[in-house]
Amino acid sequence: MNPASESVADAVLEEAVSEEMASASSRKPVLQWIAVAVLVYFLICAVGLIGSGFKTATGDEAKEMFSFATNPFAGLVVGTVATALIQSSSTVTSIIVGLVAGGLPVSVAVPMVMGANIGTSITNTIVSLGHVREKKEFARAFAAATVHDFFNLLSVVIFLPLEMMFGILERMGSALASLFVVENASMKGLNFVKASTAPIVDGAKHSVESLSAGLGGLILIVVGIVIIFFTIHYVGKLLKHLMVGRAKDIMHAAIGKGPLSGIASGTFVTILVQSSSTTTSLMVPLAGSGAFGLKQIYPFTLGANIGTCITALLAATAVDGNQAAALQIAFIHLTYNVLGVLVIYGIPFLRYTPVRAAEWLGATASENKLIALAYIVGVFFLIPGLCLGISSIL
Amino acid sequence: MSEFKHYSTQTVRNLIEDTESTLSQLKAEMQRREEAEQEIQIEGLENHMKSAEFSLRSIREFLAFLVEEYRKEK
Repeated sequence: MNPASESVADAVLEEAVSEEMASASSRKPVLQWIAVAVLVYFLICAVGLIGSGFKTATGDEAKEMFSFATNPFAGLVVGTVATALIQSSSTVTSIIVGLVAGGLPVSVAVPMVMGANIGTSITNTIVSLGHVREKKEFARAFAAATVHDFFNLLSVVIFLPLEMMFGILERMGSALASLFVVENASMKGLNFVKASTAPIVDGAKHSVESLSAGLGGLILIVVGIVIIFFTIHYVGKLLKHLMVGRAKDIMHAAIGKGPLSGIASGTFVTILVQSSSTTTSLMVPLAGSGAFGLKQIYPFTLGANIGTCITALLAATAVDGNQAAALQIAFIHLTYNVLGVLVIYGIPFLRYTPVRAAEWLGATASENKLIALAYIVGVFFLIPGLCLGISSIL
Repeated sequence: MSEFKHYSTQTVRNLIEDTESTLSQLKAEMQRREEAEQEIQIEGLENHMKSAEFSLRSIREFLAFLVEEYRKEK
């Protein structure tokens, strides 16, 4: 082969390879989107499995089973510790939705979803520990992480007593759920999501029919929890790749536009990546670099709280059993987070309380790093553990 | 400060206007720089996403740092 024809052959080969690569890279996102759809489908099925399993296992005794958590404080602690250990509030709230569909009383579940909000903020706090070697950077990063904690703690301090006294969240959640569940019969006809997940949920139920109700139910619950854990983990990973460009666009658009825009972009980014931990953890390096101030980071984290409610809402659309209650708890989670932003951010003297507390903690922890460690262990594990112990004695 | 006493009222007024105008220009420039820096940080979102992932490594590194600090103090 002469040099001229060799170079032509090379060019043709190069062109073919680049065409193939381009087509492969355009196929990849399509495949990833299909994977996301399949995972979301399994997530919804898994919540249905938990609901069915819980109903089967407990019969009509779900209320008695969770009698230890009728103390709202215990529910709060269960939600906090479970989320801190699993590292995903979406997972915990989806499980709670499944349990409510299976008979767990909504009143018991409300403090649990509040606790899930607190527990989820441990992720970004741990992420901020990575900045420990640079004192100023650590102070900024730790403050950016803990502003979410302080907001969620303040939210519980305000709304838990109100909920215990007046049941405001339960009422609001019930009113919102009633807009979507008009009648069981009509809902059944309209609910395509539920119809599409029925084969898997019913199939799983049939497969454990030969076992005792308790064991069969327990197996369904465990399988459901495992599926939820993996689906949320992998959906989050896939969406991070797929949505990074869109998240960038949203964040670029929010620059210099004020707090409302920050809250909205925090909400949308969280919906896109399906994880409030991802959104709030992203704020840590952005704050650590010094480019974003704490007051600019703060609205994003508030938006993250709202955006994370979408997973449980989605899951609640297709549960088997008490769908009205499942939707109610999902809407309670949403209402709680929206009200939290409206009240805390809306009332001027409360607005920057979390920011001031986080700034103080960031500065203090950068001076004495042991305080950072004590804070994490104390807020997420030690204090909840002590409270759980005390509340079980009382 | 004392030389201002000898300025006419109009001169002081003009000075205030100039200073305010300069200040607002400086603030606008500062905001532009801050926003430009924020745009750059957001452009590196992929890298931030990697460093923002939860990992036990950050806990290990943090504890190692605490031990290191403790030994230095001793």
